[in-house]
Amino acid sequence: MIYITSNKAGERVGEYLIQRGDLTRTWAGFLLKDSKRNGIAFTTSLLKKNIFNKTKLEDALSDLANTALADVLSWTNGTFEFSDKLPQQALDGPIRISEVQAMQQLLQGNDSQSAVDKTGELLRNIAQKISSDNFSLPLLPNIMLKLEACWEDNTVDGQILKIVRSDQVLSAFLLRVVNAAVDSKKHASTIKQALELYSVDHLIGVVHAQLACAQPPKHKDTVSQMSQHALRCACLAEQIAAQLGEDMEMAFICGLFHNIGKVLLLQLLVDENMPDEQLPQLVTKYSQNTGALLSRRWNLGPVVHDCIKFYAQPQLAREHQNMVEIIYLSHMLLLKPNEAENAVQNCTHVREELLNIADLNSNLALIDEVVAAIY
Amino acid sequence: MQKLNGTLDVTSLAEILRLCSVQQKTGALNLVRAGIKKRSIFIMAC
Repeated sequence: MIYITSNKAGERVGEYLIQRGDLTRTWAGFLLKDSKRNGIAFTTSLLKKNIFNKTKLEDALSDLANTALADVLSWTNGTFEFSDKLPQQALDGPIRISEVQAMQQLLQGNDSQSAVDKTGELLRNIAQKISSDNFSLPLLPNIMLKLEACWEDNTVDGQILKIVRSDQVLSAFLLRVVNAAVDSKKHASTIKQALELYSVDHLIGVVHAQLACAQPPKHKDTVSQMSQHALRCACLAEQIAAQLGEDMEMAFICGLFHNIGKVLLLQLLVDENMPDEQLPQLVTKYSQNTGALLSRRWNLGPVVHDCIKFYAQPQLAREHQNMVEIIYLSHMLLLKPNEAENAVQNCTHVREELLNIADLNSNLALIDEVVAAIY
Repeated sequence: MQKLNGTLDVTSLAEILRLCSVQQKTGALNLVRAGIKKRSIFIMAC
């Protein structure tokens, strides 16, 4: 990739250099007029007037381009159009930008400190792995054994897909394959939608392929706990959605995926030989950005992305707020059942009058039975 | 990629970049959202 240009406020070259303190507003205005008058690029004008040397300008433009790319990587709506016509000046330009660097920015979020300490290098390695698909989400041994038993018993395909629907790793992998842009007319955010697009045989084949290359988790017990919480959250989110008249299937999948960043990050950090005592803090700090990045990398759908990214702070969501709040409520009811009222008060989009917390609490035992049957 | 345009709710940029990389595409990708134009990502065997 060579370069990206943007008309977004703060991402125009002049504005960006002013923000960085590299250029005054007066100089920027003067140079803009100068470049227009002489029919030369703004950046050329910067070099000609000796405001920048070439290396410093290249570094600044590279940072700007990576920031612009990091922003657009997280877009969940909008349009794209590819053209094979390539402007010559693009080929001649000095800037090269990196998807990895942009992904690293997304992982860091607002944590500027990590850019300068050793965490920066760690996040760069993780971004590199996600960018190049050089990672695997771990599959729990008991899930693997259940599926193998299904195959040996010639169990009906519905039972296999029921197990897939209950496990975040298998669901994510299935949707990742279904949503590969080989046929960009089709998109499925849920297993149910995938079944509407493809035959059961097709989907079972995808699951088979996943099992062929499955890896066990490095921290089996922790991953098992995370997976069980994910399924509990999915089941409860489904029930909250039912009370609110929202999409129950979407709520289920968003609940199932809400903590997938934790599972992925834990696996990646162990691969990086990170000491055990540092794992909890790093996983807590970066798991939501990691999960959100994974959801974009695997094309899991905008609602899933927003729920992963904002379920702990639903007030930050700008779209799909109802679903984000459903996942927040589900997560909080499981985590702090005695603070349910506070959690509801933090929600500003769901219709509070439709919620019946007592009913949800009374169903928790049933949900535990469902989870116990899978794990 | 059969079609060279679409929407980002169906196909994420990360997925578009992956496909461009696999297909060794050279060209310009224009992205638009709510008046914001990331006018071109120039890709050459990205």
